[in-house]
Amino acid sequence: MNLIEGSFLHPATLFVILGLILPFLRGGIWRVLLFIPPVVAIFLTLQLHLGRYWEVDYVGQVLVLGRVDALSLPFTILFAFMSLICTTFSFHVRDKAQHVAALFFMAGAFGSVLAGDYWTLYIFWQGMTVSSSFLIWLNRRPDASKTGFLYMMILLLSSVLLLAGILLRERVLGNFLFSSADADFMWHFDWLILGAFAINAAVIPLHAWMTQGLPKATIPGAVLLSIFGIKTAVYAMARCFVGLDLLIILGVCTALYGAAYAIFSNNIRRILAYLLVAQVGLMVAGIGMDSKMALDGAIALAYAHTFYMALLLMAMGSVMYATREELLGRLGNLSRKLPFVAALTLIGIFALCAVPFFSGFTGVSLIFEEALKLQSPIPGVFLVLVLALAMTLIILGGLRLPFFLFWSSAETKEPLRPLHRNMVVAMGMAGAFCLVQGIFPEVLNHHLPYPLEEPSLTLFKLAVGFLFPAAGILLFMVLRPLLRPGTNELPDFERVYGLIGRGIMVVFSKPLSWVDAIWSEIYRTVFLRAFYFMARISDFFDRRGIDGAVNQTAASVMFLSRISTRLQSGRLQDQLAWMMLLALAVFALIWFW
Amino acid sequence: MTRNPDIINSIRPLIPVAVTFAAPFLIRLMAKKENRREAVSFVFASIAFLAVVSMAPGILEGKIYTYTLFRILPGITLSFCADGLSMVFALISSFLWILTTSYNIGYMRTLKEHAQTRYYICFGIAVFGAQGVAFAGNIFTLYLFYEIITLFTYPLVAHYQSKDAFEAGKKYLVYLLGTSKLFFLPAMILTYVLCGTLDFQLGDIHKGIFPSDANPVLLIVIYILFLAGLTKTAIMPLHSWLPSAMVAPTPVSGLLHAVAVVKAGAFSVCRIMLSCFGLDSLHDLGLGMPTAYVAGFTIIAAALIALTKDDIKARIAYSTVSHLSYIVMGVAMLTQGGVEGGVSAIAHDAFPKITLFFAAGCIMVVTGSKKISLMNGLGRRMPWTFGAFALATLSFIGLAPASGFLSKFYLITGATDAGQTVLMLVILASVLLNMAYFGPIVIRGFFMPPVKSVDLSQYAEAPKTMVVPMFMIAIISILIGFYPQTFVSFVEVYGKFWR
Repeated sequence: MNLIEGSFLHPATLFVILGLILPFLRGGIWRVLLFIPPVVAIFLTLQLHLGRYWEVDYVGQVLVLGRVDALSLPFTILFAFMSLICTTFSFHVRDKAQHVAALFFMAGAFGSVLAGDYWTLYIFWQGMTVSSSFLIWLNRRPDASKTGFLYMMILLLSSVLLLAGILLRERVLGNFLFSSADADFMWHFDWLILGAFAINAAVIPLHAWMTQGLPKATIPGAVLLSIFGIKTAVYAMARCFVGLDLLIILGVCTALYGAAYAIFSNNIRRILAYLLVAQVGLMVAGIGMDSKMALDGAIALAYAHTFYMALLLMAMGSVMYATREELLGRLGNLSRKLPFVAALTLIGIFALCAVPFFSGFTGVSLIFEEALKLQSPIPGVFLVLVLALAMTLIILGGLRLPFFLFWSSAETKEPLRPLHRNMVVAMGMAGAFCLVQGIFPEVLNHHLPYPLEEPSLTLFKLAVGFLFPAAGILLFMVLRPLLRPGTNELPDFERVYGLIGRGIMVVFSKPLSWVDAIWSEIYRTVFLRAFYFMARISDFFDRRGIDGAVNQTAASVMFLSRISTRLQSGRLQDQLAWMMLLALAVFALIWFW
Repeated sequence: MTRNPDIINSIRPLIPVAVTFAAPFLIRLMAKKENRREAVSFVFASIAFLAVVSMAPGILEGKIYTYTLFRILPGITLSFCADGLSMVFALISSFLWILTTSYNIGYMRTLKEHAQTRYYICFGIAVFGAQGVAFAGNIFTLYLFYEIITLFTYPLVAHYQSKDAFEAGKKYLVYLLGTSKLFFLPAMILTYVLCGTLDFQLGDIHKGIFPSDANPVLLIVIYILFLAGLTKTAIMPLHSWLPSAMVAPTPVSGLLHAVAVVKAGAFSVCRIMLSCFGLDSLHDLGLGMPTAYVAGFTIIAAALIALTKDDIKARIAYSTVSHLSYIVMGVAMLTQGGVEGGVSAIAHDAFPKITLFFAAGCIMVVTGSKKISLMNGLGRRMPWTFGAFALATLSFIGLAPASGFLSKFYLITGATDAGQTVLMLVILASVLLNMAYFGPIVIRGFFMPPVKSVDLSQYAEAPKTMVVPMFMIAIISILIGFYPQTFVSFVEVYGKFWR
């Protein structure tokens, strides 16, 4: 069935509709409905033509909801396929709330990637923030609640920075078009927007939300978190900040940091979270290199990474589900009990380690090649060495996980829960994708924005490509005793965030509250007392002063009248004499005055 | 002053005021028949709302209705006017009264409260006062209705007649009456002496009523006196009455202390600043930025204090103090975006705010407790209540398309237009603080296991008469974003901002 030429249906539409009506559906069949949005999305995205669709007027701005071009199309297709895999993996979950959160999260990702203007991006970005936080909270454990709160606060910071950047940008540039910034001349709002994207891409030091949050999410939720949020941020960076030198440095540092922590982490999902952060660091570095091939490399890596990281998280989630345990130190020797999972994990890890004929190879090799050609800010050779170090650490961390999980001699508690069939099917799908992408790189390459200059699997590349992981395996074998798993975790930046939060309370909130409490009583202790005091004075004045004056007047009148009484002698001649004297005095007064 | 052809003499602004005036008398008459007494509130609220809405088409075309009731002294009359600014406040106070009556019924009857007739009468008079403030045509009328609100909400604050209630009521009166007599009254008198009239400048927010050769120092003094006298706006440091007034029954806290009373204060500040002083004279006197900074300080300080409160109503009260200053800060920016953001925030923040108080009231009715630390897991027993609370929280953190997003959008636009980065940072920081103090309540309710000392199985959802209106308001606050022009159009007409 061919859609009408030029028409467009946003892939997020069905996700949103299903998310809204799902809480109100009864009966058992609602789980089948979950497959409709992903399947339709795959169908729609494979038919997309380049162009701008769905332009909407809102509060005086024009929102562009469907901008399909060479950069957004590969991500849209990627998300469509991943939505199907994730839905399959979470099919066994009966808690509707998790599905609703997942649906809105996926819708948000589609919306962000297809956004043609910043407002649309902001709206969907916020939607992703809220819905992904629920994926952690719905794990319904006290530690998950606290982690989810930290997660949401940091992602909210990213939304806030984005909002500030958008509005400041409009004041300077006069529009809200979601287009690239000039890497050589960054405005202040560009830095704000970069900050927002960097937070969501888990660039250090703002990565702790991912490394803390992913292990605490629900089992299907963690898979979703690794895909939609992070890759949207990578897309946004690729859209806006190609060629920014700072990104190379940030990316390399992130890769080193993430890989180092992965080697020493002991929670099977946190190891993957750190490896994810490390690989995103490689992608960010690739975006920062000012070349088309490096961008291709970053996107190829993003593509492959999505599939194998999802596969690994599903595998680890299955292990967690089966063994009810998530610490590496308490697990081991699982290859006999979970052979399928073990095999798929190996496929994923090899892809992660960029072994040739596994999917990660194309992207990583492109990034290394382009790094070699760089002149500034870091000379190419030095950059390649640092990247090689990062890659080595990634391989070490990556190999450690399956080795100690599946083939070490440690024992795991006996009865394992059987895995749901949908989980196995989903893992199989992801594994198949990884293998196909590895063996036939063209499947992946023709989605890339710029056509590749040379084929992916030349002999030279294969040689170097095999040498590297081989050396890595050797190194791992040598260092094996040092890398034994335990059960504790290294502290990371989340301690810093916690300190900031507590610091605000102690330095600002508590003193302000104390002052406010005192001020709140001042009306009573000062003003009311002053009123009472004034009232007492008035009373005093009234009684002594006024009444006193009245009494005194009465007393004086009585005194005067007593004197006058004495003056009355009763004899007429005396009274006549007084009268004459008084009259004379009065006349004299009038005469001489 | 030349006659503005848009100003029409019509009795229309008086109608909602008259309707809400008549309601308390009928309530008194129906004292013994409870259902008819409540029906009076419903009916008269609906009539008042319809009367307000009927003026909307004319006002949106640019007309301004005025009506003078009688004259007291030369230049002092009791007169009304209806323009864009009036409509914003009048619409929300009359509409929300309808829904609050249902909530009142549920609350008062479930708790078997005493003195219900007195309660409904005072409630009705308070709304009457709010309508009067909204439609006031000059400073004297504004002052009259402002004081009516104060006096007749006192019995509502002291409703429980306990020692705490009387203490809180005393503080309420001291603050509100004291400041209005000490500051607002002299300001009004000074204005009368300077201008010879107390009528507002209608139709143009740039010009004011003061003569152009007035002494600037005197004008600044009058301005400060006005702002200090309008304590209902709860600008720091004159805010302490609001948290203390939380001892009142929760519907009072909801409609009155989150919507009618405090918004009357904020509305009056807007009215004084825009229709009395005018944007030009505020700009010339340099009064905009200091006011904005004081409001900005209030926003942040009140939010920080809210973080420390375990009592849910106290926390919401401090967040009210914080959100009210959005309005003042917006208008004080003296830019188009700022005025739009500030004035429309009167309406946009009212819906989620009243939802929060209603949710707190539902929790109180069901559990008898207000402590947030004991609310773990309660959301599972009261999903609609906590769901509404969550929706209101999402609105406040600016999730599109909720109403909170719209007010943030305009406010930040205004701040960037004015070139004020600090104010923009204040708004953004307050978004984070909103999540920090409301988020934990939602998280505790839905995702944490219950505290050991609390037995949750005895609790069920609150009565429908309370939950239905609360949830309806929560839905409205989310959906307003789809029709952003609902309130913004009135502001645009009022300020003659043509996009």
